[in-house]
Amino acid sequence: MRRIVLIPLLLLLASCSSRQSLFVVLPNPDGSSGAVTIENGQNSVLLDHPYAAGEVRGGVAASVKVDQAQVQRSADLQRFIDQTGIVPERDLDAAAFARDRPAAPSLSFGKAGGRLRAAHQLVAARFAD
Amino acid sequence: MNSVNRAWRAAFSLGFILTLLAISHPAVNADNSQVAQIKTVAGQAEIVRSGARIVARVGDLLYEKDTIETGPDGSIGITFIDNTVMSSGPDSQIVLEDYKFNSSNFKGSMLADMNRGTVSMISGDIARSSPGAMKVKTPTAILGVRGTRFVIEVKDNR
Repeated sequence: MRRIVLIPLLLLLASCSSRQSLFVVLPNPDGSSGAVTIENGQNSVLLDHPYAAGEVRGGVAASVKVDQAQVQRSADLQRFIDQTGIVPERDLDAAAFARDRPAAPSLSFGKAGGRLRAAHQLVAARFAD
Repeated sequence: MNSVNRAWRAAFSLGFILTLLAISHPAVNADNSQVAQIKTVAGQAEIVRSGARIVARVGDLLYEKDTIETGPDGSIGITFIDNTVMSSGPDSQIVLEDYKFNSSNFKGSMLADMNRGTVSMISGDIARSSPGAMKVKTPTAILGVRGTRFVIEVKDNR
């Protein structure tokens, strides 16, 4: 009986406390996505589709829905990432890149420092409670 | 006698120069292997290495255990040797806690410790070849990554 009262109370407390961290899966250029798992010792949450989001609030991990405005802001960030130019990266470690293999995408932000900051401000605004 | 003094003076000078060099160029970590490179920097961004603060510049190499910090106007973009891409926004702190990568079979492990701020990441060969081997730790949770793009925001509780 005590447990029946305690669980809703804990959930209520968790919902009242502020968000401690937020995680959002972004789509790949082809619209697909991989997955991430949030684990916090008490429970785990799987996020496995584009714009799937999860948060930790009051020490409890849970999936959350993102509204259209938030999706748009994430899409802006995604567009920003793509606009910065995905180029093959082969200049870092000759040994690592010596083998001829399909180039995995990586980003060159080059001239886009200001836009990078702007994008992160967008993200920061997105995460504001 | 003069020659003894000269020898002492030379030894002292050498010690002084070595000390200066040690202060101005903080030692990299034990295995001394680069794990990532800075591709872009805007505003205030620093690397904390072996307790010393270094202003982050494009082209700088990063090593395991390095901490990356950005100021209120800072952001930084980094590419790892497995092609993982990480960009971090203002007021962020991320420690490259663990990074292992075998360029022959593309397997490895990665643990980034994110204490505050925002970060967007595109996972590379490690997450592709070793599902679950890429993790991002925050003060409240651990994120296991299976080949994807994602964004994290951690509130600053300082």
